[in-house]
Amino acid sequence: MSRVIGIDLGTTNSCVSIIDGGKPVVIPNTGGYKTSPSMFAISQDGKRLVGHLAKRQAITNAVNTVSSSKRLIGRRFDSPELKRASEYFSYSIVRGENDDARIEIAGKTFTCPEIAGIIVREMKRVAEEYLGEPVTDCVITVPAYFNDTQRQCTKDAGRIAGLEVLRIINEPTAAALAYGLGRDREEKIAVYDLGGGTFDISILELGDGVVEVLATAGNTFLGGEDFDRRLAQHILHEFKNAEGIDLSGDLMAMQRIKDAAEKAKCDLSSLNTTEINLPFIANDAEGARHLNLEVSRETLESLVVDIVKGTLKSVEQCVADAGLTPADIDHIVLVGGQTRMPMVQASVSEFFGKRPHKGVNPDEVVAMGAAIQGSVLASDDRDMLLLDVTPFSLGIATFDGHFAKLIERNTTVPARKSHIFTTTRDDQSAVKIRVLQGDSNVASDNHLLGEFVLADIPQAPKGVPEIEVAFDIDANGIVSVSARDLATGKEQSITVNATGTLSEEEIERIIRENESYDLPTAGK
Amino acid sequence: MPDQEQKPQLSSSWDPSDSRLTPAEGFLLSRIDGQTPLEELRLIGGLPPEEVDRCLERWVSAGIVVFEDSGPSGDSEATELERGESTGDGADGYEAGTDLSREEQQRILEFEASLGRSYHALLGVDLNADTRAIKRAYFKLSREFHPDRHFGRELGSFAQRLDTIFMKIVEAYELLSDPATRAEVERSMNQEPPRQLPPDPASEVVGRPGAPIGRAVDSKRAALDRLRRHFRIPEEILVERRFRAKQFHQTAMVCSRRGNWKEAGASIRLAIAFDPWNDEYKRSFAQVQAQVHQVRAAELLTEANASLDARAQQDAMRLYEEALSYRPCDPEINAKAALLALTLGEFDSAREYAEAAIGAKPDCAEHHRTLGKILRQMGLKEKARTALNKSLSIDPDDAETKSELSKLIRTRSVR
Repeated sequence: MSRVIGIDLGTTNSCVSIIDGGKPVVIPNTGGYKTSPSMFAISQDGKRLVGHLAKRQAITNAVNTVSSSKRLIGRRFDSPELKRASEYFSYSIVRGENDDARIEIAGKTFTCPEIAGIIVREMKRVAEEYLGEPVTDCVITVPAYFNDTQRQCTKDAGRIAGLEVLRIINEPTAAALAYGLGRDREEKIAVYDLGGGTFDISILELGDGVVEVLATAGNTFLGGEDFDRRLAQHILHEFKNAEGIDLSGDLMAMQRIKDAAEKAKCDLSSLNTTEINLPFIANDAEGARHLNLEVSRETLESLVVDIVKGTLKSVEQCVADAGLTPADIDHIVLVGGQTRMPMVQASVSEFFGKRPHKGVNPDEVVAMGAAIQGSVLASDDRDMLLLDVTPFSLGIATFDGHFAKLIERNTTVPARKSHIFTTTRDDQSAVKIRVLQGDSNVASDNHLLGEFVLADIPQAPKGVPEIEVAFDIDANGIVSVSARDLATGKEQSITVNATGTLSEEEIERIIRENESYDLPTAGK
Repeated sequence: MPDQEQKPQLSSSWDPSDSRLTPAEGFLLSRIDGQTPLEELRLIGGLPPEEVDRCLERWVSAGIVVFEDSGPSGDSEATELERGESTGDGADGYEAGTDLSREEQQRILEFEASLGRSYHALLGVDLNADTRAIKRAYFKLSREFHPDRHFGRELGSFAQRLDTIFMKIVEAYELLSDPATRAEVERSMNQEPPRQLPPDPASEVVGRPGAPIGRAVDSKRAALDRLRRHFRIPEEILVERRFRAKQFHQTAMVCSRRGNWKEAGASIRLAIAFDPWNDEYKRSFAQVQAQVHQVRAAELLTEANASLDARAQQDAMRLYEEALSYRPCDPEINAKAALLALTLGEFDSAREYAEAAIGAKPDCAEHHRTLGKILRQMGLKEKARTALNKSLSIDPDDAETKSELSKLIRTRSVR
């Protein structure tokens, strides 16, 4: 087996790592950057661009540039999160065949796994260039709070990129692996992961070469980009007040403001004030207008204080789920670029009553953890073992619309539970079973993974037939379900194939299509 | 694979005494009577249908099972040859085509066969272990049995076994790490006969890992009972089955008289598989199993070169505990466990074992002496003296007891 790469497929940036001489090493791209923007574009002359190349032309080609597609992956077109997202995305989102969200740029429609696949392929290329040999296997990270559909889609992305995905692991868990490598003390740690588009908190216990996830919580629709957007709105608002011009309809101006907001936010992590200068942002009868604005750290903090407070609610729940109190936590590990913000650090320190650990790079640690897990799985040197949990409860909808939990959230995977079901009418010949993931007692509030029908039940009075339904969650967090009629032994195995995931044929088609594109090198 | 209508039967040339089966496999084997078609076996075999197919395939190639009218006699030679190659691979659970070493396979098979133990025994912790010890045991076993340990390796049927074992370990850990559920577990342990017997093949099917405790298990049990009634085995076959079981049991008794405990255990397992309703076999099994553990503990101790290797001693201790879980009142095992615990410095448990030994065999001087030794080292001088005197009253000439007594007096006079 060739060496396994670890890929942190982020909302804003992606990163790839490999184990070299027993230690994880982050691989720089040809431009020398250790992370690449998770962006994809089709240029005016029809070329496909990825990473830094795509980002660089985003201002002039916003409509045909895809960014933050991770926010859409595995989501239904009708979901409320998607509605919110489409308001501020510059590219158009369309309904796919399975009610999934797809992306349309340059007159062509892409599925989200396909876009993710293009980015994974770029990371694969970066690794191959560095290693000078082909790479076939990888471990990809996902937010801990990704549901089954989102995980399936990420796995498909790996396949589209021509990689065997040995394992999907959770980002905070990966960070803990990187943190725990070479430490042999027993300790409990909290990983606070605020990335570009998602927020995760996990509580883990380390000891004896085992990394055990005790609990995990989070929000897959909250991240650093929300900070950018708040700041961009602020800039827009200030400009309108000063000049009386509303720039929100001007795509190119908006893209410039977005970029400037992101840069200002980063600057404010080390400076107390920063200046935003965008010359020639608009034109009207009186001539060219320039945007000139000073932003202070306090202003930024007042714009996002509710988001930061919101993350602490998840932290509180997670600590309670782990059966602990904040004082039980020995170390706090911060992951994701947004944790560089002083207010985030201060809030987390205040909650736990101790300062966060300083030894890891928040942008690179996740990819490093993925590489570690890859080497643990692929080599015979199996010093570390990861015991991960499922982030959501898994269960089925009952006939009265309630949600019957079968596997509780934070159960160690792999897990299997079975349950006996029966009919509700005399001589009922089929039972429809809807599999859901979530934690609401009302079935319709949870995420529908899929449904299947167990047919050919022998005629019997209601309540007599006994159908055993077994639910499996594998080490990737991916669910499969099988049902068996106990009286006849008739068995039915179902891979839960829900809205939002691709069929086998679609994946094969995409793989074929993509083979014909030779992507120009990014990052030069 | 043969036609669904075909009826497999046990080969007449097969000598059952040299094969080892898991209880579940034994149960399946016991359903093969030459009258049940394959199609039906897949339903009533107590295993998932694919597993049934796999077992049958293995048994056919090992010559244990033949399908009626399975070809002309010219074939039988080929079967014989194949059988010669793969004996020891199929029926006893070992598999040749995997990346696992024979030792690894053995460890997995043994652990799987003992999943019916109490949760404490499963994790290898004592009844009053603290949460830290439970967690350590859980981590240790996870490192050994988590499916990731063998990721990417060819595992054959062992993939499923590892999954089953790991999930059972998680179940044990989850129940014992939460004080509320742990209290519940310990309460229910006290209500049952002191220690659990190994599961009989039927309950193995019911107690599939991950089954919710309580109601769901009950309804499963009911469903299985109904199934079993539905597919009731004809009386004449039952008679034959019982006869076979008896033969196995006799083989086992012969083996155990010769001191060949492992073989005896295997034979009794088969006897139980053929006649799961016979309690005598289960009792014999428990006895033999205790012996197996005792023998292995003794082997381990010799291997460990007496007192130097503490780890081997710990292992031996665990084996004694396991042996005791089958025969809690055996004076000999208790006495040995007491001495070993004493060497390990675990005085409290040493005392418990010694007292248990005396309880089982009150007129053995040696046991009282051991207890006296333990009590002396615990600093309970009065009690130690009573025990040693008791020992002397049974055997007045025992030099070791006398020297123990004099030690006791010496320490007293020093003070």
